[in-house]
Amino acid sequence: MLQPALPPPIRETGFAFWLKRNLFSNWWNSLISLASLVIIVYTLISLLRWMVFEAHWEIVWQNLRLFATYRYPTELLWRPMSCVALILFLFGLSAGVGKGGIGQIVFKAFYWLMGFCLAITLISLFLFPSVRWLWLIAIIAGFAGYSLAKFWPNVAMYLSILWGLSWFVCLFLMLGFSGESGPMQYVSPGMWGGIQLTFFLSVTGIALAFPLGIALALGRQSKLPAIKYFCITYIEIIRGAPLITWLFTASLLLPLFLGGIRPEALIRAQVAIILFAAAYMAENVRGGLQAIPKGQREAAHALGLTPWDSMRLIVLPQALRAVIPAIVGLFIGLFKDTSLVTIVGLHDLFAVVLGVANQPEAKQIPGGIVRELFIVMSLFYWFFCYRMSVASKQLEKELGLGTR
Amino acid sequence: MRKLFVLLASLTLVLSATAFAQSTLDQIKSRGSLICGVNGTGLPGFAYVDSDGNYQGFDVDYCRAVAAAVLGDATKVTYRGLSSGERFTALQTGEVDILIRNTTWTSSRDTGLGLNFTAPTFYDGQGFMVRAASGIETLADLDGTTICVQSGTTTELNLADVMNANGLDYDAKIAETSDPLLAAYDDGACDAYTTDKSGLAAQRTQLRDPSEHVIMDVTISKEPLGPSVRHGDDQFYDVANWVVFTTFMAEEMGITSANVDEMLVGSADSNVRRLLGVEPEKVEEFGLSADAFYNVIKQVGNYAEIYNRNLGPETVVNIPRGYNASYLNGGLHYAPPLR
Amino acid sequence: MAVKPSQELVPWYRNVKTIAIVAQLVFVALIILLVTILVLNVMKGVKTLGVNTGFGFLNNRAGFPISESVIPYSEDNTYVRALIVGILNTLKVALLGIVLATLLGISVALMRLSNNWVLRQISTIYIETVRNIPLVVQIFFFATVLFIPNLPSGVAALRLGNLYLNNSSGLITPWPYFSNNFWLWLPWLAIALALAIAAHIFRNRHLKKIERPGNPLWLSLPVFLLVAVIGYLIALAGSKYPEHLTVSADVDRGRVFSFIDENANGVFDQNAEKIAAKVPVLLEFDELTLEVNPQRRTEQKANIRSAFAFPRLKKNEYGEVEHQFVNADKTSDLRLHFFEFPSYGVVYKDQNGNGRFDAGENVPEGEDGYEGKDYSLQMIVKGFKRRVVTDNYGETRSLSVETATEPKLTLLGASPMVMSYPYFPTERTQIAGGTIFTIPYLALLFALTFYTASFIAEIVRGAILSVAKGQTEAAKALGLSSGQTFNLVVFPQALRIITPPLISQYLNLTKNSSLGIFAAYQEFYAVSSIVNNQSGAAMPVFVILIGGYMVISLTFSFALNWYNAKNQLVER
Repeated sequence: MLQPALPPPIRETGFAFWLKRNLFSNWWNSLISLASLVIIVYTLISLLRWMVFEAHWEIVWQNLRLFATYRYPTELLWRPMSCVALILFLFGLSAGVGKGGIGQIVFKAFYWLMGFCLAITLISLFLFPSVRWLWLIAIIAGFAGYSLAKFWPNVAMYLSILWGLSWFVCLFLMLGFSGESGPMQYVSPGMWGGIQLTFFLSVTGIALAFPLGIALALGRQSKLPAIKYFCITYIEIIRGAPLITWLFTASLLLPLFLGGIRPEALIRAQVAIILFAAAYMAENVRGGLQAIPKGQREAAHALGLTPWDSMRLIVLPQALRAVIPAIVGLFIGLFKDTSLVTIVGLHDLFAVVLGVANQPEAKQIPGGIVRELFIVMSLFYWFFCYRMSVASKQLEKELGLGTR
Repeated sequence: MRKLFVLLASLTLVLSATAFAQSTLDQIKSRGSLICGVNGTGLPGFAYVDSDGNYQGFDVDYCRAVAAAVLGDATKVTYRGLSSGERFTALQTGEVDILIRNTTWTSSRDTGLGLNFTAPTFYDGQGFMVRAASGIETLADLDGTTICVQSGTTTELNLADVMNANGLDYDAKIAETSDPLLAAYDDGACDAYTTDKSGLAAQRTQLRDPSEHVIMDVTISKEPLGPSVRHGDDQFYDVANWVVFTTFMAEEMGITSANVDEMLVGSADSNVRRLLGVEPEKVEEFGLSADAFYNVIKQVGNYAEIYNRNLGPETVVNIPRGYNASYLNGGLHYAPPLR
Repeated sequence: MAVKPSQELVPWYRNVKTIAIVAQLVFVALIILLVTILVLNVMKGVKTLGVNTGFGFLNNRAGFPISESVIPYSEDNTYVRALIVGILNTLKVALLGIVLATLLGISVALMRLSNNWVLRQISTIYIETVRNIPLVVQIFFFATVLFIPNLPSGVAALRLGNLYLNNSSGLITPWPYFSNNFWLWLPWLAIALALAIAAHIFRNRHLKKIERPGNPLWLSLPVFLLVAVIGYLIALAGSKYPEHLTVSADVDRGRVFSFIDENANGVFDQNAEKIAAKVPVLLEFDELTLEVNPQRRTEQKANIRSAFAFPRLKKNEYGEVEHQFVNADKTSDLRLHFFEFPSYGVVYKDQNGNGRFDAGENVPEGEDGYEGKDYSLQMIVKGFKRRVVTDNYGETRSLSVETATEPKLTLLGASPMVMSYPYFPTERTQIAGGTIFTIPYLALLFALTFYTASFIAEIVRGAILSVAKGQTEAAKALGLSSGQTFNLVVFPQALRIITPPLISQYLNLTKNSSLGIFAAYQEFYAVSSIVNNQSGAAMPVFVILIGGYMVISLTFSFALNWYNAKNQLVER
């Protein structure tokens, strides 16, 4: 007599099982899942319908140039675009020479940045004939950098110098000489704006806050009370008040402190951002310094290194390496916070968006075009911040932090 | 850290204009451009950045007019978009030469903040918007209507004052902010909507069908807007003031940017000849070149041209002239004689 | 020979101690030099630019309105008061924001750890979206994109029970106010607090002695509640309508005359008329000269708000609502008639017919608050006189009110606390009563909450995940349910990890409230910025602004760090 066959084991793989475990494990889970799905689908459909049929995207398209560079003269757009090309080139180099886990992270960042630029290039190919070649060149520069690094890996040695130099080159390119006309005429920072300004303020902010922050962190650890308490006071005062108050201060009082000399609004805001970021940078670096075991310093001392050398050669490199993710986090924060310069009359992306909403053409649309502008602006910020936060998390993993 | 200071110091020196010592007029001439403070985030009709990146608007045209008078070229303006929080400080510290940023002339700004206002270029004031089909034209027609008014502002009190003074009855529909109120008006909840005229113009464009609504030719409060300069530099104050008067005079005399060249050679009127610098001494007394006011009219236009270009019936904004007509047409704009 | 070797070997300029002192001296000298240069520059600037540097201006009239305030404020108040209003507004949004962000943050963290795929995805998307978009943009979203265009306006408000929501006022909720009988309850509250503290300390010691785990709050909290409730009931029994009420009207502002109480309830002024309580009122006068110009609706409107709902209103034979006013010495009485005015509410006239309005509807009878003692809040208008001034054009212009005493109004009632409910006075006006959370406030609060919660969620999730898995397994092995495991084993351990980063998030939220200016919420920064703009005193405003934020930050930081230190695991 034949035994009846045993029922097959419950499948623990496959779509049905996945559904059961993740969506319908019990009755209230099923209820939550279904309700959320209905709400999500409904929202998405109405959003899509609005985006396709009702939204007035034409004003966003017409003002893309303002979003990118605000009032930077059209005939000189090749100058900021050269900066883009230079940065893509250097990024390509860095991505090309990178090895190991960190190399992977840099490559991914490069990959996404190129993707973003490629999308812009495609748009400009159809819509903006004045810059389409410039964008193509920038893209090519990116690929060129990457290929060059593959052929000539030794370039890695010069990368940090090149990056440092590129800041000066970009500043020079965007500013130009003093002069009324010609290809290298002076373009006042008052004409800068949009995404260009957002990047400039945040990159310059983090770059210059870096040395200042290290100095403050070392000062805070110093055994000399005068220096130590000065640094503590500075750090705590700056961190005690929000960035917006420091921008206000720099905008209104810096001319007074300088005896009537009036730096450009951009410089005033930039100084505020640097001094503000430095205090936070100092706290990050201090965290790194404290994480270095005391034995390291003692070993350096035993080897006959002076305290200065042991700090410079042993402690700081390790500490800084450990705080890279924190610095990326700080940069993300700064990148978002640059939107506050609206308050001191600068025109970063956020300010430009507010301005575009006040154009007469925008006012002709019932209800204005705030939703459209909001979506475009949010997508831009989100893309960059999200990619950076992903990179930061990967770096953290790679550097062996945050895991126990 | 030292590098940073050196860098900052050098940047500061490169990019900043120095010295309080020079007179504003000399500074502008030696710099070769006028730094004009305008509305940074934009006010439709008055100042905004168009999609080509150029500043446009009524206030902006007055920046251009001053530049045309001082430098002979209306394009030589460096615009500085200012937030409302920093506008006065920017003028005080000399960051801008002149502030033309929809700023109301009040006594406390004259005295407390060290500003000098020129003749107002735009008499703003509370007005009413009604449906064109309603037939409401005068204040008396508003008797027994429902009026949408923003609460917590002088607007509401002005309305109550003027209606009571005229013995008119009305119902007020009030809200804290303008947007919902405008929506209520658009939905037909009110017969009229009241706020400052420049605001009315901008808000009308957001209605479903702006052409169905008109701004009444009634003004019930005082909001004189005009350029302001620093206290204590009388020479530049005179220049700014007379640039404004030039635009008035040109309208009074019928000089436009189109016919100014004919007038220059053809006019026998000594008023016109003095204004256009054919008889140069009166204009030169300002420390300007003889053709300064000619340049204003040639490059920017007379008041009517400036008004119609930015706020006139052809534009989106479309504010009736009202008090802003020349005194010849019953308005308030009146230039003292140039002699 | 007698020279010590150390001095021999190390010359003074290489002695570490000397170098340290010299280095510090040089450093201090440099700082002093820098400060001197800056101060000299400022002094030079003060001369050339005429910038205001003294603090004397703070006592000047502010002259600008603030759209919402926790304490009474009008533009006739001083700059100091304006700044205090700003700080209070900052605290108002920051404190509620901290509570809400914590709750939302923990919920999102738990969602992200749940076994429901949809919830996990929603929380992940929420976190990754919100934390990667600037806060300013999100404030812009809530204020300009979401609330104002999408909410109904005015009387079309969304309604849920006694909650109303519209885009002209905001969220209107019922709100309790102190009455004159509050002092009857106050000692009970004090006793309750003292007993609770005593119970807390006692229980704590006891628990330590018997070496049992437990939270002393489980004893002290019920003690507090019990005593407070009993006290309230006793106070309620003793509550009565007062003999004398200390209410006066606001002095002349040229046009408006207003009643202000310390809770900003019953205020009428042009900035805050929305805060009118739905409370019956008794007005008593020492002396009242009513010279209301029938043409000047503004004054009537002022009165209406204050005289809004009188107790035991009754209709007279003409269908008008009438109430008797008694002056303080009860020697004479003054009859005022009431009727409802379409757009404003109740309007009164005196027996001589002054202040009468022609148009009007009757006060709805029997509606809450118009009758009965329960809602009684009373006020006395004490000794004020209104004077009509004739202006140059022969018209009666600015009416002034002369008060015998400083204008002040206390809300009174026959219970220690009085609940004020929102309602529409008439079909077409704004909501009165209750309290209002304005749209700018809500926009800022929502943005701060959502933004900060996304960071808190990640902190909480990280902390929960960091609790070693063995702990959970051990708890399971002991037979604890998963709920118990979380509440008793995992969460208490995670809490210690959470606290320090949470403190820094709270401080961030508080500082970020300064972005309220982008939603037109007038908190400390926004007010300071206006003060600077009005007074031209950049330097003092800077000191106050930075100082104010420092004080707020340091207070928060000390309080939270004290809590943290108290709750950290003592390592042995």
